[in-house]
Amino acid sequence: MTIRITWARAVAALLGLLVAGLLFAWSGVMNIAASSGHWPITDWFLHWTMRNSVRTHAAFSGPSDPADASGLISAAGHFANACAMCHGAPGVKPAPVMQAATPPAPNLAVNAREWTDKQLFWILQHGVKYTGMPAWAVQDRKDEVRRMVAFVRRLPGMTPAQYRALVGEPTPGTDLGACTGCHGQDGQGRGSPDIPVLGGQHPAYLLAALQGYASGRRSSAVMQQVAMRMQPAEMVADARRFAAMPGLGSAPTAGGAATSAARIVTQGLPARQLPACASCHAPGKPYPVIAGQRAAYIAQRLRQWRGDETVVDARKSHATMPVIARRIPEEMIDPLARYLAGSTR
Amino acid sequence: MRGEKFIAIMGLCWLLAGCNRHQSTLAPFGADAEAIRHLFIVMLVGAVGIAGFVAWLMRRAVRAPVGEMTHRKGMRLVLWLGGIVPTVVLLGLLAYSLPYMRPRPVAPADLRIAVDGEQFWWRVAYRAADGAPVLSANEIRIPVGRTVAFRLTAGDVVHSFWIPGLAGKMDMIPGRTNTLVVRADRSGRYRGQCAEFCGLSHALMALDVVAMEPAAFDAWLEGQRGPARGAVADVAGARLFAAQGCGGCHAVRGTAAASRIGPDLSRFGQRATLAAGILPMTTANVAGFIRHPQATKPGVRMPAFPQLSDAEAMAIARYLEGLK
Repeated sequence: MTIRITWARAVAALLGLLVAGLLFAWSGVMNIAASSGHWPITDWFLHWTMRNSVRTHAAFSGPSDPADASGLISAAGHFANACAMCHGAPGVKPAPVMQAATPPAPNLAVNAREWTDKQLFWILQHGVKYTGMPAWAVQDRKDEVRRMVAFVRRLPGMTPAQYRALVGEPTPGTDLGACTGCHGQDGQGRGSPDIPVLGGQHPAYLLAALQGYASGRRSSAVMQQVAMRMQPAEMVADARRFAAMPGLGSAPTAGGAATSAARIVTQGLPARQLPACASCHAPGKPYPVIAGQRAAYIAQRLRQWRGDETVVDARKSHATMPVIARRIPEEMIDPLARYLAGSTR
Repeated sequence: MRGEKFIAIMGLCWLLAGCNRHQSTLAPFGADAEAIRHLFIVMLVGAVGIAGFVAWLMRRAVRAPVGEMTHRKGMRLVLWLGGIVPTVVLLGLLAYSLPYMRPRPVAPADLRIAVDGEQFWWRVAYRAADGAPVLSANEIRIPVGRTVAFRLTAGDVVHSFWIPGLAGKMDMIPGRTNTLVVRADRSGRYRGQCAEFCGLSHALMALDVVAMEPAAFDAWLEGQRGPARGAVADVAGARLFAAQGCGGCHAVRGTAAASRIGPDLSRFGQRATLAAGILPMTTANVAGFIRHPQATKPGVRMPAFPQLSDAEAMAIARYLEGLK
């Protein structure tokens, strides 16, 4: 007996398959237990699909400079806080609870070699569906992702001692929010260019920053991970403790008084409707102290506020600093940051 | 049929919006706008007359029996009605209207007011023959019966200065100074409007114009000199104004705030409206504008101050309203 294939029969067969599939899903026979793992062929197919997807998307979307090795301390701190639980770290085993997932998180000391920086960036920024790998908690902090790419790149070959040195030790007893790992026991940020100096800052500003990070009003995956766990009383105490340390507030170097950066600080650029920095950032005013802050941190904050140059201003934030930061000429951001930092940083 | 008529009449009701005495070419309070209205009425009457004549002529031509007019007579009609009469009428109109274009003469002693168009407000500086300029914003006061010369410039993009009841439009062009000489003939409070698309809030860039009796104007202008008065109307507000950095863009004469980036606020409490003729000047409106200016004027150059609490913004607003 021969079966002739007609259009009607082909359509009926397809519909039959669809109904059978729906019936299978409806019946609940499909076993989604993580404990049973995947068949080898399923495992291969899913990973093959994932690798292809990352390769293709990273090729078309990643930034041209996906790694930034200048700030490994904050990346290591965040890795210890948010990633090591599943992935483990040099000298730290992953939590058995997390390794019982399907698929289990890979050991990055081995696995990181399989990816290019651009691909790591894409995975860290966007996460991977169906695997438990989350996206970066905020989507507008590519600078944090770039630092993490550089850190993950260095995981193969990193010794436990090197890792512990990067993560830093919390001070037992006094460090309520585990701040000193990155910010240092002296509030100076352990010499890392991306970590701001906290000593000498207004305590009210530090408290507002912590509250902003905890609520998501201020964007940072790294700080949010820490701040969201802090009790209100801890926030107040830590803000006060760091503010009382010496640090910020040293006057900019007198030698630079005639430069255009100094002019922006004291007079602004009226032709560009840019007000003077000192009209708000001055002693006795409620705005944060920026004199003596790290130059790289100031420049990064200003660039973060400016946002994407390809988006029109009307679609960006109209809060005070984003508007002002957009009026600073791009070529003046670094000189301005260096001038504010003074000779010490 | 009745319903259709009703809808047609209602549909024309928007024309009534032109019947206001605050911002209308047809309700002039200045000599130049009066001339414009006169010219408009003469042109309108003439145009209606000519249109009526043409309609009558067409009706006759359509109904005339074939052969009523010889070819020669027809050609002569074309020559007269299509050539000679229009030429004479247009030349006559030109001769009649050209004198209106003569600029009003201005004497060195006349008041000069520099108006600078900005996104989306007006920077105003009164330059009397003697004394330092008096700075203000978004409200222009002029004396009735005296010649006033506006020096019009723009700080960012092209704007157009138009007070319909006073005179015609004049463009404000960056890098160029245009002069508009006017004379108000009737006192009162009027309104102007930016008449050249200049950005998101172009339609929200209006202007209050107050025409005053000369004696009252002189007294007013004299009172504008010197430091802001009433600066202690709200001590907490004054302190917040200084601490929050408002002086980075605004000036209040007699205080540390002396920047010329944004509007001069020295006599803010005297103005009847806020945000260049957009909101009535109430404490709540001022406080709301300080915290979220974008909500009132999209694209405004002033940054938002959401970090201020309601109470703080209200205190600053009370202080500003006290500046008279």
